[in-house]
Amino acid sequence: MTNISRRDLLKSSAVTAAGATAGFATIASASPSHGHDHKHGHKSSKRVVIVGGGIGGATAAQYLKKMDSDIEVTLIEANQNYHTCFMSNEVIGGVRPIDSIEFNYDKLAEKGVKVIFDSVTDIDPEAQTVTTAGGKKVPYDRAIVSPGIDFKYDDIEGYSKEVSDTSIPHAWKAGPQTALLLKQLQEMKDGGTFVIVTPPNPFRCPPGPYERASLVAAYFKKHKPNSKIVILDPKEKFSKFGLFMDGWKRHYGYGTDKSIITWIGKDKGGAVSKVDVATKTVTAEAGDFKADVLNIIPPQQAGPIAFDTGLVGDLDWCSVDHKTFESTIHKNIHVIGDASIASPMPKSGYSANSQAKVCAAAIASSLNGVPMPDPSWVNTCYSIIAPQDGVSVAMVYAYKDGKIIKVKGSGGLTGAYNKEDRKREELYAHSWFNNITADIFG
Amino acid sequence: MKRTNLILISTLFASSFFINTAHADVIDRATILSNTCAGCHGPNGISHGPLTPSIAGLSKEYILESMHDFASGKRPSTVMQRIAKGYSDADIKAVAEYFSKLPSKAVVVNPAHDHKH
Repeated sequence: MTNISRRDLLKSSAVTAAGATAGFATIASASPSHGHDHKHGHKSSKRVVIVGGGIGGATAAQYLKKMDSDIEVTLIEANQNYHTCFMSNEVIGGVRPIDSIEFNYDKLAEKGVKVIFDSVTDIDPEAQTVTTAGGKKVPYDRAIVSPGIDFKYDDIEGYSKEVSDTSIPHAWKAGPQTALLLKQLQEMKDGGTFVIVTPPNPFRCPPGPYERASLVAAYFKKHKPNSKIVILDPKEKFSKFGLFMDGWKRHYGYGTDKSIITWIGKDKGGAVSKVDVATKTVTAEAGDFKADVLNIIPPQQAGPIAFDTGLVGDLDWCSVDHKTFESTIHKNIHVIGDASIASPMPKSGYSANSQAKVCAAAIASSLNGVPMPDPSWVNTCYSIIAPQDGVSVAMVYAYKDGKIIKVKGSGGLTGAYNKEDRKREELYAHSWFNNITADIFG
Repeated sequence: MKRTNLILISTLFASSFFINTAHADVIDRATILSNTCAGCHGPNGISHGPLTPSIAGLSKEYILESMHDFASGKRPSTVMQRIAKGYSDADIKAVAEYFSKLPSKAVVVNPAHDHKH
């Protein structure tokens, strides 16, 4: 089909495209994606297997194909659908339908990515094969592991995966738990208390818990004005701290006795050690807090497959070469996204997207035997404090002396409150969502 | 091989397009830099809205001027003033050239109808 359509295209354009003969010759001799290298006449060895179809994995698949359509790209992902974590707080706040954050892999498959729905059980770095629960053994020249995060449930006594799935969601991987938390908040009586337990650094989406509090506060203000939010935090400060504090004062009476939001940081005993599931009561250093709706976002580490395959060193995350994202432990296996140690980049969707493109460039360059140019990354994280009040943090990153560095003078936070700018930033946040999801899944 | 279906009309005449389709695109510094723009401005510089503009097909001069004016503060902005300061003049020039060469609109051609042209 592909070859026929391509030849048809050549025929149809041959009349007008005089002078492009060199291009035609190349096209006609190419048998795309069938494993033969037309230049050398032997079996091609450009096989990339991607483990995990989240933001990092799906972006890498797209960009590998875009950079070199001859690369055989296989994406192995457990689920048929993916819900983005970003914008899931708008779902929880009741202002965005959950199906608007749901994506699938149809477009990737149309672009020539071989998508396998299965779980990876093992990666053999010596034999260079990926094994799945379904019994497949897929060989690779390069593997990309984009496993996202896992939760350390045991750090909070009484909490578990089972509890998170049924009564006290973390909703920190979007999907069924996002829907569960939304339902609980919608069913909560006016005058109830919503308690959010936040994780220590580093964790996925640093401003996320505080945006969640903001958007639920906006929902309470409109629909359940006697309800309260308590944030229990093991940290002294958090991402966009000044912007959230300012926004909470302007919108939710923060700092007054009428405030919808109470934030209890480390100094005030915000660290939580225990939960009583039956009564939804958490024990913090500051005392016990009983919730009507409870959201525990546990401490985090790299996704399970990173541990199972020995990609995690002394820390909870994967150490990588900052130019190529190749694991410092296993050759020819690259780790991108939240699971990688790419500090000073935050664990964000935009970071994963940006890292995936650099990793794809490193692999495409290497497989074609050409040098890779110096990489460049961007991160922009939007948060919505209230309807028509968006803020952001941005940064440009460069590669210097073997490390990712922040480009001096670039980046930073949204400035002092300006109504028009904040309205624009909310619209930019929604534009960003539409564009980055088109870039990843479109 | 959906790539072949997405025919960028304005590049039909360019032989380089065909070469790139079959082979590895040249992964140069301009590509690496420009890839980072897609998160906000859309894949291939075509925005899906509602507010962030498309940047594909803008003139090189306009992109250059915009980036320099964002960086200096001459042109008011929310986020671009923070992004534009992250690049050298050579980087900005490379990005401006890259997006100026991209078609401003991608037209999806159904391969089944190609032969009718």
